[in-house]
Amino acid sequence: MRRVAPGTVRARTKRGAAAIAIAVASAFLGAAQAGSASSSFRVIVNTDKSTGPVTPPNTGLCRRIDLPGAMGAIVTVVCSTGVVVEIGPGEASKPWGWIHGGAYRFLPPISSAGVNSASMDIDTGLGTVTSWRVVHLSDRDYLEMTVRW
Amino acid sequence: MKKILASTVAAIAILAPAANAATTSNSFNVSVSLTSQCSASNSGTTTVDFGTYTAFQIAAQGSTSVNLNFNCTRGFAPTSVAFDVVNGTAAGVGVLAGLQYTLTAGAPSTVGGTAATTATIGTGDAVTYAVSGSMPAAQAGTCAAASCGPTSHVRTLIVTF
Repeated sequence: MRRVAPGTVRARTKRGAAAIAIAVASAFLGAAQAGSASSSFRVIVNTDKSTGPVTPPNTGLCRRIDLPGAMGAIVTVVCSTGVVVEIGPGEASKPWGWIHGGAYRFLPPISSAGVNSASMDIDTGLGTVTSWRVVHLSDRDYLEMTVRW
Repeated sequence: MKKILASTVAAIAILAPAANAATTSNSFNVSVSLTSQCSASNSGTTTVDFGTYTAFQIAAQGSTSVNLNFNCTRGFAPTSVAFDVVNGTAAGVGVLAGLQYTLTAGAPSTVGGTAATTATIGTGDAVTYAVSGSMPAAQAGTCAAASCGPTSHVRTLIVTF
């Protein structure tokens, strides 16, 4: 029969308990190592609404090109879809002159004296006014607009 | 004769201590467990400044950039970063003067520290995050006067390790 030295069983028991304690402590140590650090800073802004009208961006779906010239100039709009929109002088026989891409020029035949300068039918229609301007000429004023529907 | 004997004994007594000088050693282990850490090391006020935002402006508004520094255990790197949820979201979105903004923390830049020696204690790794922001265009903002500001609030970058 193998002889066991006195105290051996107790020593093994102590070592086992110590190993368990170390394992448990290690587990807790691992959890304790997860931490965080923080650094604060200030976010600052000034707001200003006193600036005048803001020019719309000349980017996006369409690009506007204003060619040089006075009255009668052609405005070309190139869209990303490839559609080219040109706004030019209207045709005399068509007050709502058809231009590429659905832009129209409305030329009411009214003189500056407020008298019809000619007998002409004026087409009407519903749409969205995308831009307009009043043109003052020597003999007449007229409203020019582009619409889309 | 007795004198000669006494002198001889005295000489042996003197020589004996020299013959007994020797060394012995007893080794022991030196052990330590190191818990890695990072701590913020910025001093003074750092400010992400969006400058002046004009209502409905057509372009997004960028901000200045600030460097937020952390001193970390050498070789140890934070695993993630997030912003506070007190004045915005963890992703960095916030609202200031009625203007929405988004903060971005860049990838960390690390300058390695120096190892400890018997003469010096060494230094930690310097981990730096550059934080900047952007405000989307075309925002109205909130301001009862022609201009307001500067308006500010405090945000916090939290690094987790």
